[in-house]
Amino acid sequence: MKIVVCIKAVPASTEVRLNPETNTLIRSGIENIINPFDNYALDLALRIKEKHGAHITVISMGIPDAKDIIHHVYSLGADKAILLTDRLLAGADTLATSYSLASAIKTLEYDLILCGKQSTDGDTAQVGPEMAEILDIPHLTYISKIKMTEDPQYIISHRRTTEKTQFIYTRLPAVLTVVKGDTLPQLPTLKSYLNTLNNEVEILTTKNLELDDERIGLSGSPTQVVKVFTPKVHKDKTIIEGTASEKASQLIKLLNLGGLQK
Amino acid sequence: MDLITIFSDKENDLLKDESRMSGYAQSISFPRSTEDVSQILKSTDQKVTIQGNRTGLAGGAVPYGGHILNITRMTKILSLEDNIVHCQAGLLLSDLTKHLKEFGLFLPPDPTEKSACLGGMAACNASGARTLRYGPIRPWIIGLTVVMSDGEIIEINRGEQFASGYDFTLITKSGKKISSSLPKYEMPNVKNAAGLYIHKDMDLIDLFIGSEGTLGVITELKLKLLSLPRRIAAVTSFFATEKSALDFVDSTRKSNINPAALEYFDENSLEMLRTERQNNPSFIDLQELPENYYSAVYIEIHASSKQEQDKMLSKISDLIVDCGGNSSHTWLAITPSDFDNLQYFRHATPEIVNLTIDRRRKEYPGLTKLGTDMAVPDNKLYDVMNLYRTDLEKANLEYVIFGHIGDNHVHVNIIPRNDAEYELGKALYLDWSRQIVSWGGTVSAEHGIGKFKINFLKMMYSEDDLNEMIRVKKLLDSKLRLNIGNLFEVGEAK
Repeated sequence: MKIVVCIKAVPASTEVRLNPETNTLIRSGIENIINPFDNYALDLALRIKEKHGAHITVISMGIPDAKDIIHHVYSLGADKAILLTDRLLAGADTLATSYSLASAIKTLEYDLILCGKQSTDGDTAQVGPEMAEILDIPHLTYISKIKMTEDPQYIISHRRTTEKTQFIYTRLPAVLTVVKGDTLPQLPTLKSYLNTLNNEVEILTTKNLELDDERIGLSGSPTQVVKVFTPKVHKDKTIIEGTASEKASQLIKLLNLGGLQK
Repeated sequence: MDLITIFSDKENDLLKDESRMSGYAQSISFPRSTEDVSQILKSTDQKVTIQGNRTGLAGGAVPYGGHILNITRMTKILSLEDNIVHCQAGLLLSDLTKHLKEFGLFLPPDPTEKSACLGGMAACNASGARTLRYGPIRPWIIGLTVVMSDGEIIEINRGEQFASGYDFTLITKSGKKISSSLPKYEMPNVKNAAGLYIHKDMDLIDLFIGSEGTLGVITELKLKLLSLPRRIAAVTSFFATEKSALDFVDSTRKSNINPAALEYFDENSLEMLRTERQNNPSFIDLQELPENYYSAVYIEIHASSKQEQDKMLSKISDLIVDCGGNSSHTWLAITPSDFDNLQYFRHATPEIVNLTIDRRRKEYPGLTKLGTDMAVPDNKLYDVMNLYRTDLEKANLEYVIFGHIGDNHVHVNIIPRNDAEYELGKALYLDWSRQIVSWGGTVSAEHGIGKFKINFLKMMYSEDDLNEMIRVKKLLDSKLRLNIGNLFEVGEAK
């Protein structure tokens, strides 16, 4: 099976702050990591490879500095790592990103495309499904596990939602967006790290791809960010006292009055 | 405003700490400044137990009557410049670490218990996994504000006031002089948190560090910081035998790797992790341990560049193979998520021990975990492991051994199945203490003596030495009020 895993370098999530004057993300001095959901996607691919054999290509779109972070996937067991990077791609929204990534993936062989459910910086969860539409293949979201079937054209995807797990017979090729599975992702081994130190991350630019200039980068992005701001935190509190039923009826009264939303 | 209030039942949690000992108190205060502490000590004649976040394992913060001086509201960072932070003693390590990270700085000793407060850490000369490379907290403390039991304030900075031989003079902020001579006993030459720190010509700030609140109340600290290492990597290697693991520790220490941490997990620890992972859904996120390996060593390295890091990792790989390990079955952590993953693995062992004890306490309420905190010199590492192993197997006790093997400081956790085993474990603990002291080791390398281990301190120091410690206490705390029952038996606790 040929698997393509899409990953993104994101700021370590707990450290993201907004500049209060410009309302833009403060990125200076902040460590970048592989988007945690993408780690789950890669781990799912690696477990398939371990059990059934597979060729894994990891692809990312980002700035040249992301190369080091992308390189890490070799030590985990990926066979090929590609970084799509070009100034012309800068400022892309999710649609332009999906178009650019899908265009790069078209040049690869694939049976299965895995992405994290969403990235922790943008939180849109749009790139996976949008890529599937552009590639004209089916997609499923919230996948925690997959099982092979006797027919190599089909897999069974475990779709985990808050209420239930659905087992979905899925025709390949398909895009799956992945959530955490039963366990945390496996750690790399020392040997695989040392053995892959000299592996190269392949660099792709717009010159290597057939792209419609009007669908890439900032100018190809229909999304307009009007304002980004930090929500104000209210610390007002109301303490309700009395018996349980008194407290409950008092709470209902307050909620109806909007008393807790001042 | 009256700072002292009568102790109420609502505050019963404050009568305990992580040692699971429980005490009693008549009054309590929550000062917010050094001046508040001074005023409180001047306005009460009661004996006073100083309390931080009560994470101690030796009962140091458990009050035996009198007043609780709880410093958990003293959490201000007063300044941060030139890689020095000045903070109040109630600040939690986790809050400090988070704040420092924004400036690319860290406090190197890194105690495992992140919810400990800085004052408590200074009072017991706390250590952590990274003590192997960076030492305990002592050398990183470069200034202390201490309130004496009569309310006098001493501000002392490292490098400013030394003993002359064994004679010393301390001067309080108001000009009061305290002069006398220091005891002359020898301290063990290992990682140590037992007894008052004494050295000829010593820097007098060191007298307060590790004194467990018996000499004064630490209210403010100035700490020296380091820039976060550019590269941090950790390797968890597995070995078929304990001997191979010890060989790896030994050869790593003799190499030029200078690891930040070297931690050990014995066969029983690994087996316990395997079992819990399989049977307890709470531990499903543990990494699957490679089969047929019966001991593990965690090694953390700090490097200034990727090249340096990779060179060290390559060297470590060679050492692992030389000692019978296999780098294909060796975990590597490089990214933040790898470290989160490993942190979970490293903390699971003590957590599972505590869960097991809690289950057994339902039938035998008197049971507690018997956890050792002893360290020996480098040349006694194989001997001490052999001692533990032989005695524990002979006694047929359930136990795990894990911890800071780089400092020859592993924690033996005996998990008694009944009251008889509890007594048997206690007796073993005392026997080991005697042997370890005779090897030049310590009965407490990082947890401190508190109230729990007073009998163990008596093995390390002669009665004359202990009386000398008490003489110093009486000099600085003439009414014998502070942290009575900690370190030694004195005053009403006698």
